[in-house]
Amino acid sequence: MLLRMDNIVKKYGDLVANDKVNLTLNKGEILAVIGENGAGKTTLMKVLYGLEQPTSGTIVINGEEIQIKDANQAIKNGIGMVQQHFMLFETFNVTENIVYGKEPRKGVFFDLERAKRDVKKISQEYELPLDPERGIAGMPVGLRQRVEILKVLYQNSDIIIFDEPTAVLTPQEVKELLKTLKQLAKMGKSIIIITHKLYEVMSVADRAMVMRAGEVVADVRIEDTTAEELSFLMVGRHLIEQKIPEKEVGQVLLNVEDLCLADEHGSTILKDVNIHVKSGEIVGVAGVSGNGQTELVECLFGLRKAVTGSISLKEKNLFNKSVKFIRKAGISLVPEDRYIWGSAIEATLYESAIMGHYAKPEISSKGMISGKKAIEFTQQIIRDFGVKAETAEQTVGSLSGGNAQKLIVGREIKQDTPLLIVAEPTRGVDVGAMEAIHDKIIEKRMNGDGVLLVSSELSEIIKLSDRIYVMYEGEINGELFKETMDEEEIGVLMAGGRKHAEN
Amino acid sequence: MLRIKLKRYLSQLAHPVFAIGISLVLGAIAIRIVGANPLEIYGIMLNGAFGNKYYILATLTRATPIIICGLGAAIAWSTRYMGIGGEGQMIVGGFVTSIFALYMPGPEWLILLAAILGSIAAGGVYSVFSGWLLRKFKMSLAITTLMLNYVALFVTYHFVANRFLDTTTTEGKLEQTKQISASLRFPQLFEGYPLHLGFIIAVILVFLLWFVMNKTTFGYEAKMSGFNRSFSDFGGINSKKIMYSVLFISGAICALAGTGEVLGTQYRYVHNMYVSASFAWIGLNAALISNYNPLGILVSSIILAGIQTGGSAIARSTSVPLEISAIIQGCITLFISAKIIISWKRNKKELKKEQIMNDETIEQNKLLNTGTTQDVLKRDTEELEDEVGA
Repeated sequence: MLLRMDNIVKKYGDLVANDKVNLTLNKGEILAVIGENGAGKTTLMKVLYGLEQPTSGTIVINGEEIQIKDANQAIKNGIGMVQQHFMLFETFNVTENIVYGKEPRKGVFFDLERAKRDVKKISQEYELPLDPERGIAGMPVGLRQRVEILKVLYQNSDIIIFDEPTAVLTPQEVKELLKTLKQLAKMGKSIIIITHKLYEVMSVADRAMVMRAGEVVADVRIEDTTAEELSFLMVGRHLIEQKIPEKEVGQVLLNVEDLCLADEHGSTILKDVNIHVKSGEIVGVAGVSGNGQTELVECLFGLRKAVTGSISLKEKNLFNKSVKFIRKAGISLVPEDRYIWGSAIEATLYESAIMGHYAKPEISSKGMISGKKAIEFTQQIIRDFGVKAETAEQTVGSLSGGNAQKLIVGREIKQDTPLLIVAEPTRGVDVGAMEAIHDKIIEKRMNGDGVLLVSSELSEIIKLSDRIYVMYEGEINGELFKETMDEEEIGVLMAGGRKHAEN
Repeated sequence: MLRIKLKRYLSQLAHPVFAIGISLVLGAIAIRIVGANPLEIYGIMLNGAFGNKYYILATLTRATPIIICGLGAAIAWSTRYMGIGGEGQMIVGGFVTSIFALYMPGPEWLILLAAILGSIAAGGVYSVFSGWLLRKFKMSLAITTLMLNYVALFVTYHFVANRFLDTTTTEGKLEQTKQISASLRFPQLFEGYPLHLGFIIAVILVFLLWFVMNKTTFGYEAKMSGFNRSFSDFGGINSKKIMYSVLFISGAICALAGTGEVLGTQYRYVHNMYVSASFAWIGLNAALISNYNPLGILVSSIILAGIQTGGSAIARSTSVPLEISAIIQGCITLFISAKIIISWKRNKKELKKEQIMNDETIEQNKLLNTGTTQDVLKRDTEELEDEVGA
């Protein structure tokens, strides 16, 4: 046995993030650590990688008990980690990024030639082709991840931790990565992969360790289990497959024509975007993050000024109007990032909940806000949307991410506008909260309102949308309808491929 | 609910009490070093600040401009427009007031009204200018306001020395304007004691500002804009409007502090009158101690003023130098600024705790997905720079 973590306990004050967790890992094995958000997976990995110190418990590698005080010690002990958010220097090239921290030297100088040779060698050895001299800037995510993997291999890691490695990848890139993982295991590397995507677990892992509320609830071999069993173990109950009721679509609400946007240096972000949303319809915008979805939403909501094109809601011109004007005209938005755009961490729940509502007679009159009405209003959202909170006067920062998100979704749905834009509504949210949020989005549609759903989570788009636009490099790369949509095809479009069926 | 509220208030009090306490201890050590008995000295100090009616009223008189400047600083700082131009704003306000009071013809009530409104307008516009520089040229508000303090000081100096100089007095060569007529002065609240109408204005301003900041939609917009600018933009709040309004109000309030001194204590504009007493800085201190809470500013300004008047009592009656009060005040400033760092660190810690509960959130990953120690250090300094730069 290569690695053993025994009775790991990690407490943060009263919160027990890991409770007597045992983990074992054999040479050449792929272990999937799965569980809902907040189950303690990431904490456990941070303990292993030296980013957190356990309250108690031991770590044994090759039969020897070791202390891991920081990441450098972890690396010395042959443990490497491929982070969810890549930590690469944009201005350096592949080689420089890989050898950073362990540069080959010639005397006191950096031996660049040897570095390049070394990088080329491991890249060939592990069949991960990559040009050692290519710059990082402008590199697609899949390749960036490859650089990270090579970096870990360069550090001679025997145990490689992957933290949600597929979250940012296109379906094609995911396939590539899973292949790479298997290849690495075959060459004797031991791999721990943290994920909550079960089909990945089923297709790549040898063994799955399921965590729930800080404890290990199961440790099973993949051939002895099924995806259904794992999902049941993760959540502690069976998930109900949601069927979305039929709904007749109405008139066009949002109409966007030839929208173009450039950044401050003049390079194109959005190019001739044409989309529309009708009432009673959920329209999905799929795409790998960073293909212009964020900017599109910002333009629609007046947070960013577009160059040319037109945006209208029920034929009212909204092109480059102020947020206030657009909100009044009838659009509300669940923003992509709940702490940057969606709320203020230091503000109380009611202060965050009345944003966009505070000028209405329900909350204020003659420029004076009624604290009592604001709190009542917030309590209503807390009740209706199942926000787990003690009072309306605690801070947003004291809520868990899922509950903060429910508060924000509640606030925006309560605007009761004809069009709701939701961006990444369930990012980083656990399964229970996710279902609740999906229900509310569907309810909004059943009321005859329109919803524009922007998400990089393909399953969410497919589950909820009546119609889908796929974005690639700032353009709409295809439109699909519920009846004929096919995950494979969306994947091709997301990766920049052309639609083969209709065109 | 009530308990949570109470707890929040108490925890807010804990820091200032701690800061003042530690400062007094350090002051005591300093007193010990110069060879006096700290308890005795503090006794004299307390007596000199609040010992009898005259002392109390003298302390309140001194507190008046501090309270007003504190309020002016509080509204801007709580919206995270951290200017330090209170001094310049006082100068502009005081100077404009004295010029109106001395040279405007017409009925007295009209002169008085013009002197006050003129001061408000001048201080406000002067403060907004820094905001314009920030918006147009991204110049740091801290730097422009600080620099403009000198501009205000010396431009008015020019006018006082070369245009409006009082040549009638025998009081040496002070650069000052003529005295304003008795009928335009703020009345004393108690016959024969220095406390004047300005104190009542300060107290009214305390409640007015508390009301605006806590009960109005404008106050809400400003507060949210201070908490998180992106969030307030997203909510449809016009940040530009908020910035200019907040800076205008802040400048206007500080200008009123200058007006109060001209109409209430000096009865003329004297070059350097605000600088040497550092009203604006002590006011900013009061605002920081009380976490921008107007009622807290009222209390802490009185305490800080008491340390000053008490300090001069020590200097009058013992061999312990006046600087003792400067030491205490310096320590208070130090510990209060330490608080900003501590609370910033604590915020990070809390975020970390939250991270465990929802560990995949992108934002937190940004904050916490630590790579190597270098990364952490690098990021920390960047964050600090952002904070200071803003």
